[in-house]
Amino acid sequence: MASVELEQVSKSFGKTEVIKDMSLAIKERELVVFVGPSGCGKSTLLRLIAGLEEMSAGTLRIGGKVMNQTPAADRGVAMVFQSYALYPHMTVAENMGFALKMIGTPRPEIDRKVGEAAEILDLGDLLQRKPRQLSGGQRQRVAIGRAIVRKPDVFLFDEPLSNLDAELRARMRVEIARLHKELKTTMIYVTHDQVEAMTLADRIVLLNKGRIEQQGAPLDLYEAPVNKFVAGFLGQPRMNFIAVTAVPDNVIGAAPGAMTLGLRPDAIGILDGPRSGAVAGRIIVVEQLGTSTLLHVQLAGVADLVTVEWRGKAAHKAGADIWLGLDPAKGHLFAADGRRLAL
Amino acid sequence: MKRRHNPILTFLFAGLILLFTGGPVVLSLIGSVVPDRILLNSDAGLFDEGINFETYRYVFTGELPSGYLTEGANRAMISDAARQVPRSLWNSTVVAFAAMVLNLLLGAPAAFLFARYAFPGKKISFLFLILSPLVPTVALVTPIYMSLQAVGLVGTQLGIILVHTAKALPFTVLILSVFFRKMPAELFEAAMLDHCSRFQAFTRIAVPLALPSIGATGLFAFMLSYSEYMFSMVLSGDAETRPVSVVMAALARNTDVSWSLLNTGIFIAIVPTLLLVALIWRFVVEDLLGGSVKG
Repeated sequence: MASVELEQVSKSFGKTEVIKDMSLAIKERELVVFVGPSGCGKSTLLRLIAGLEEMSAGTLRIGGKVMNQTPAADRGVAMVFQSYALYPHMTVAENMGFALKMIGTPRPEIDRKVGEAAEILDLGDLLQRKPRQLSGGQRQRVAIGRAIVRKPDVFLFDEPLSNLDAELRARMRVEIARLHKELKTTMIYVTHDQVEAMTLADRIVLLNKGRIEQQGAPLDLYEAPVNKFVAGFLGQPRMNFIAVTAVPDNVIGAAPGAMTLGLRPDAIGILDGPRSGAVAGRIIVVEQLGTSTLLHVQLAGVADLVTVEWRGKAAHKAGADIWLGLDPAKGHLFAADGRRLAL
Repeated sequence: MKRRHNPILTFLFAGLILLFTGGPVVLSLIGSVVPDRILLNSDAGLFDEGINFETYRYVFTGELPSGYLTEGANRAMISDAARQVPRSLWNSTVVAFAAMVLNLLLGAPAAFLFARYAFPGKKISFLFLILSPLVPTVALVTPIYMSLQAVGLVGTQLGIILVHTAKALPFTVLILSVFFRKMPAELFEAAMLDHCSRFQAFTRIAVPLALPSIGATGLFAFMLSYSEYMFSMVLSGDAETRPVSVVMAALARNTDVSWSLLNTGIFIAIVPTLLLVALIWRFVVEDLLGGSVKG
């Protein structure tokens, strides 16, 4: 295991600056998730750490040692690729033992290490198969196994679950969390899926346009987003944003001009009739999720539909009128530039 | 959309294609085992005298076919060139095989570099390579002859091998670079992390995965060399180094030539290529169907 430190790292492809003057410290044994929309630079950042891309500026340290010029293979990192990148002409065992074979490890030792990794990942029966004879989930496990066999200081995962179906993704998510506990190794995990980020991470690093928007424990980011972007990115279903105007003498009236009120779907109350503070709307779409119901409501003067999460199987019908309680105290207020305002 | 499939049409087209490609082969086979006196006699049935291998015996042993031993027979029909066929067959096989091996040894790494790496002058050199076959062969004969003469390679097999290698190389590089480019980049990044050098990534990952295309490309280079005539004729020396294309041309140039003998020569000349196709093709097709990269 090892720490990873980035100091004022930049990366440009031609004139396009993908990573902008980024500094970040990842502690030993930490599971850090880079998350962000596509094009935010999260995969590039991972590839810089792996040594698959060269930095345009800055310093990278792994385990305290500067790695700027160190070849990818000698950085003590192992990477799990989105497409698995298994060698199609080799068996599972050969795939997993390939790195060891390349550095001249004796055959019995390779077999032992491959066997150990196969046991951790429950791959024992598949060792003599070729990748094309495996299912998506099995291939994913082999790709992880290939990384484990190398006993790396740092594991790098590049959107490893995005090619799997929803059920398998949920299972593998748990598997990776378990693996992190078992191996006690530094892991850096890239995803665009905020559920993966929330559930796996010790710490989330939320990226946008080549910069870090916010970093911290998942719940800290969820409950105290520094700006509208972070608030909108984390949380499923997404936070509702409603344009509001500051009212004089109100606690939130400090900032002039237009502001945005951010309310998570579960922070909006459903009232049984018109009363003070209630906002009238009409239900456009109802989504039954089983344990809860999502109501998409059109409010007068609000362009986007407002999503309301209702715990229960209430008999709300599309087309019906509804009264919502929008309590600013349960949400966040954002200034015109997206910054969160203290309530 | 429902896929319509008409088996009768399929068979009809397959039959037509077979007739055009396989027909001449069958005709030359039949022509080679039926004596001239039957072939040239429109009244006689084709297999009236059964089949005989006299012309084959002549080609390999020099023993004259019985029909030409009788008095008054036109001996001129039995061309001496036919006796050179076995030797030329061996010559051509050696030349074509060497050109094939050289093509793969030089062309596959070059194709890999063009496909996967950036280097100064990449575009211009690739363009140069790809456009070079557009220069008419005839225009190159004299300069190449003089170049090879200067280094003493005229009349040697090595000279022909080098020229044939150079002629097929643009195709080898072009075709293989397409295959190498289609391989996912992540495979080579994984190899890089697995301590592979560029060359090891080529030999251990790219080559095993491209084997079917390498086989097909090699076959192409072999056939290109085997059937090449112009340079073979100009550069080959005596009968010892003469390739089969030159010998066959000499045989066919004899206007009196025995049809049976000519057909024998043609059929024998096809055999090495047929053998190679049978050997390589099965594995080419099997691997193409079974070894998809994405799986």
